[in-house]
Amino acid sequence: MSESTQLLVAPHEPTIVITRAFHAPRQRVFAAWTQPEHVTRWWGPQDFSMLICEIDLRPGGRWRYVLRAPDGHEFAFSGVYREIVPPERLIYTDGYEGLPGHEAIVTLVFDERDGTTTIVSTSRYQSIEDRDAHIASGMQQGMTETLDRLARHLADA
Amino acid sequence: MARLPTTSDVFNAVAEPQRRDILDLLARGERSVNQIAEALHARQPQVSKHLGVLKQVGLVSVRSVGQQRLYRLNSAGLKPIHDWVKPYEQLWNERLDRLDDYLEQLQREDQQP
Repeated sequence: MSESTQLLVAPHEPTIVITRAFHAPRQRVFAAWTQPEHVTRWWGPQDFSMLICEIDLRPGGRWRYVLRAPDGHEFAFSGVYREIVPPERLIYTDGYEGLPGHEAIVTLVFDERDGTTTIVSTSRYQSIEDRDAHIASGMQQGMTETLDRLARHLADA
Repeated sequence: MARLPTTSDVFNAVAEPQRRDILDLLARGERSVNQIAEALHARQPQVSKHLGVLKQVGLVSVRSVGQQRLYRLNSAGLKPIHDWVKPYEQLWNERLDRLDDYLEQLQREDQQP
């Protein structure tokens, strides 16, 4: 059974808060988020391939994900772990390498109750403008996917 | 990127905190300028000015009842903001759906003898 994702964009603060529940123990959800053999199975969009998934899970350690889009474009995301409290909490920086200097700080909390793990991810940007630009880039990607689907549909027709 | 003037851009119109308070209040029902000013402990001319902006971007509409002018929320006017955040929300929803499927798959593998 699938739960829905809640997304909150605060008007006064440069944050995006994402909440989602999973029917799994938090140990497992935490592992799925922090071990490359798991991350490569779900993180990238459907048609993207994950070329690189490096995770150095210790304070000061780096993570780096490189995705390749169906059109061949590559997107690299990376950051540094600041705090790691398995399986409860993660704090790390998160940036798109195509836009350096605009990293967000992500605080991810894993809360387990009766076998259900709720994650709350709070991304804090350097400004509301940065946050809004990040959301707009999501729109761009969404648009790209939509256009790709349209292109496939037209090719099939 | 150049911003559009407040009076034609719904994003700018809701960027002002007191205007958002007015929208929150109107979400609960129609109000006159005086009722809004009283509820928000604001000055009436200030509230009138905000309502003017909200009206121009289509977030509120107004009707006359006797001597009174009653303002109400036109929530369809918020659609551009909804449209803006929706693809991003969808991106994350799809990603977390995949995680959900993957966790279920791990669970099933556990249960196999």
